[in-house]
Amino acid sequence: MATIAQPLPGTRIEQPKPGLQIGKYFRWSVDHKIIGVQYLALAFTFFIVGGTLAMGIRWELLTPATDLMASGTAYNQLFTMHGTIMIFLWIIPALAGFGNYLVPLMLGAKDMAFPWLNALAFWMIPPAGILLILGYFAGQAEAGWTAYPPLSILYSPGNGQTMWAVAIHLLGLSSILGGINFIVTIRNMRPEGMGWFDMPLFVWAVLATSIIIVLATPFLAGALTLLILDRVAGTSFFNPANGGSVLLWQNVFWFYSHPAVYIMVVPAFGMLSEMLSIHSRKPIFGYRAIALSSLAIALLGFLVWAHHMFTSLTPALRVPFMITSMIIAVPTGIKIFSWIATTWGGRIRLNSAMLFSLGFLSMFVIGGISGVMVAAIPFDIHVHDTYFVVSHFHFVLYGGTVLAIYGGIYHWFPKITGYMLNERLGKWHFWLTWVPFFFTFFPMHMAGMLGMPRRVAVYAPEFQALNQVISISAFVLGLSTFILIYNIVWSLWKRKVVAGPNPWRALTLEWNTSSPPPAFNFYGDPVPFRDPYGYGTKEAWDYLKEQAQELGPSYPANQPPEKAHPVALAPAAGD
Amino acid sequence: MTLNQDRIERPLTREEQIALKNKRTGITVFQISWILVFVCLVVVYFQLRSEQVVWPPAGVQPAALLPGLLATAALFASAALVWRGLKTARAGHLHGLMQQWLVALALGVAFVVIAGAQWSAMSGDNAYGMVFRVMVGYHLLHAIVIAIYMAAVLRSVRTGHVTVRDLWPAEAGARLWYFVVAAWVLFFVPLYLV
Repeated sequence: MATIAQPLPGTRIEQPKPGLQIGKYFRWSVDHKIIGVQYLALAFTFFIVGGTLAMGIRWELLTPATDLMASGTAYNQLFTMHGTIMIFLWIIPALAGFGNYLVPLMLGAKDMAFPWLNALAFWMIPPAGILLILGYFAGQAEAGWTAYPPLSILYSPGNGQTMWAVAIHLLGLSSILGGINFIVTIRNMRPEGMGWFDMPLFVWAVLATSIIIVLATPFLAGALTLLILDRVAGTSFFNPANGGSVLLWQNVFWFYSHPAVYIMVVPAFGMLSEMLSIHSRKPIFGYRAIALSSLAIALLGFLVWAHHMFTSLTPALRVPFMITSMIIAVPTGIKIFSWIATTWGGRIRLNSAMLFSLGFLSMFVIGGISGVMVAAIPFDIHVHDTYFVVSHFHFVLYGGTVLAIYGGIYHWFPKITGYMLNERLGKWHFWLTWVPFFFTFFPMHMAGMLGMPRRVAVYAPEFQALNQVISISAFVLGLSTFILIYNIVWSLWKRKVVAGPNPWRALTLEWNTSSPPPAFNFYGDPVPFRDPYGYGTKEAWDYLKEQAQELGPSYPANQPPEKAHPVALAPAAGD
Repeated sequence: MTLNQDRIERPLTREEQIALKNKRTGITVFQISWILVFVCLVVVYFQLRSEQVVWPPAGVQPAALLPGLLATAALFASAALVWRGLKTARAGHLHGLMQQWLVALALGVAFVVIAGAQWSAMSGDNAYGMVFRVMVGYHLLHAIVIAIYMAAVLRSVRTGHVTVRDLWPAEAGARLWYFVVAAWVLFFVPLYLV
């Protein structure tokens, strides 16, 4: 497998600079590109907030006794807010940001189907986030992000828990509106000649995610409505003393929240398909299998919710849910093997986007394997509510999704801003994320297997050594985020290396316009390339050459494959 | 041709056709999504019911069937009139739409009054009453809001803002009213029949 030591950033220095108008990102706009950036920026801000709370958790757990937190209640509030912010205000909105920015561009459309609704869906998020955080002044929510009754009903006296429920309700509604918009856009606004199986895989992933959103989130809305009524209107849906049921919440909540895991992962799968193919300079392996496996995951995701309830579930129902939970590994495995096959024999550019993509592959696989482990009833009962579970979902959501988001930032930043990010800093960012990530979350498997429960501020002294390794790694991991922030600020305001329209020599439509794209995205009606992943062919080279003539070059200028890469005779390799 | 005539008689442009297609797809997806909140409440009903030895709990009177049937009949009749009204309008007779929708709205009000009376008569201090009140109340909320929207559409027809050329507001109102009917059927079966 050949690699290119020097990544292929198509960069030119001191070219005409795209203007940066920061103010427009703070105003109401119906332009999907602005809304996409708004999502990304807001989500990243909440990531910093949620990450700071995570640092607080890890600081507290440096010693077995309480030290940073005044009480167990304060610690409960800390992890409740950390989980809620990371899921509902970071990962989901960040992926929605990529979707908003990229889907219309990839489809050659001028905007989303409902631009005004798109803006409305975004602007529901800031008030929800503020409401959530304001809970700190009203007795913060303390029942975890899962808000299990009776904790969220009888043992969360402050108004913060009600504010939490209202905020999540708003975020859910925003999510549904966004999902509807994506489905309509993808169904109705593809350009002529672009069939379902000609769409980029990221668009497939957003479609599958949107289907999950519109089918699952209403159950969260129903559950939250009842939770709010229990808290403010005197009903007792979740209080068995008055005819209610605590298991009712668990069933309805997980009917949403397990599919929600795929809401948080499937778009990242889509991003990975794009990045791995482009930076391996090879056609994607198993296009249809990857596309359809996204839909399979969306469907199967609705059949597994009760594996979160193995310890409280009727024993007869455990085995069917164990089987469905394990089956979901099949479409996921199809993707993993397809991605590996995509990179196999490619001329890999080990740039930041590719490194994060490979980082995703390595860490997500660990999360997937531990997922199969906790799908097994006897093992799950042993590790239920321990740090093993914490480790599992962080390998999926951080080792998977967050690394994909980082990769996506490096990959699409040139398109969004018109400027390149610094590669050296990008690589520092990768290594200082990937290694500490492993040492933060892998030892949690051991802590969990040895019996350390999650959601406790005070733990048995024998776990201290493991927790110190975890906490110190977590601090490094937290600090590494600032490398990306510095890189973004420096690249935008000081470094200013202009990207050109298509610095990665990609074939999907978002690269067939200037960087950043103009209002309404394209200068005419864009014509999609026959195969969005047809790298290494003469046709692709001709297409890219024509594109450069039309839009201006990206550096270095395109060259015939045989001149640029003497080994391009290898199957499917080359620009 | 005056500007107003142009607005009424000109065929839809390609952009307008795409916009209409988007609206139709959008509202369909929205309805599929939102009906699931009602399905969720049905699930809630059955789970609460499954955990009780006697249903409704001892000493609690279930909602009377006859008023429920009357309300349902009114709702079905109103939906039929909404459908006929829209069909008439598509044939170019906006006056027919107005007449039939006015009767449909009156039937809708009758539904709200009957179901509302049952809602207010039910005590919420037991599991059955609690879930009945939430389900029927939630449905009534939708019925009232959508009826108000339909009344606004009628007003727009009268003022000439909805024309035969662009019947989307009326079509949206009709689709939403069918949604009210479908949601009521979902609730009626467990609450009154099973």
